[in-house]
Amino acid sequence: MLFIVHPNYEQDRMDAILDDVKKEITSKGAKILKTDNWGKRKLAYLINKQRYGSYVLMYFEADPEMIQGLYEWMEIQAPILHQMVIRLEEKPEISETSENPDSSYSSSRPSRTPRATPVKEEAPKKEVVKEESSKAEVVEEVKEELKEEAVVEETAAEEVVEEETKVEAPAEETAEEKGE
Amino acid sequence: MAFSSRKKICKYCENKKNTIDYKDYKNLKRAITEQGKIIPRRVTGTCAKHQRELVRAIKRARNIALIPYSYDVKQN
Repeated sequence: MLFIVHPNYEQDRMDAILDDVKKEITSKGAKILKTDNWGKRKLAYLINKQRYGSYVLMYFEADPEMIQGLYEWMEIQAPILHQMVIRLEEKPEISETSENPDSSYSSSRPSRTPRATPVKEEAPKKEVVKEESSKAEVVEEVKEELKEEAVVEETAAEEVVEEETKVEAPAEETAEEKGE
Repeated sequence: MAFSSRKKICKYCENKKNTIDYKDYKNLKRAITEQGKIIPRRVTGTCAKHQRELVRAIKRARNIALIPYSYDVKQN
């Protein structure tokens, strides 16, 4: 499950929210394998008029039946902007992967969420951990990239301004020529 | 020949290290246009299997705001 926490919630309150989510998941009889806080990052588009959000990735083993309840609970929580539960695709579950194209997108559709939930066996756990480590690297890359993007945007903006001034200058000249 | 196109190779089949993951949005950006549209596989040469995985990953990433549904090209 990947969910976004409201950006106004800082470290202490963030921990409280995470504890709440963990309690809710465990109380429904699921087992949390791993939580990964990606930290605050820019959203690709506005969610609830927020430009930023803290991403938290959580791996858990659960029955498909509990996911609907979890979703309803998550929707009510004010600090959580958005969430998505995804069943991990594993090679041993060939018969289930065939169902995956349907559960591939739009986590907001309740009818599809049960299919997207993980009913994992113990074997894949190792893979999950490996995946996590690669993710951590990705997050670092992402942060660097964001910085780069910010720099690029600034320079781009400057260039645009320069171009505009250039465009205006010749236009004035032509106008003068016409006047003559 | 001028009109013979060179054979395209799926880069995910070619290199097994290239995995498709919705969280790895940096790699997914290669499969979308600057408008944010998914590039068809007749252009990229991706095989059907991997294109399906790509599309799934892109749509997931869009849903969770890792990549936008559409870029405003004019604005940028």
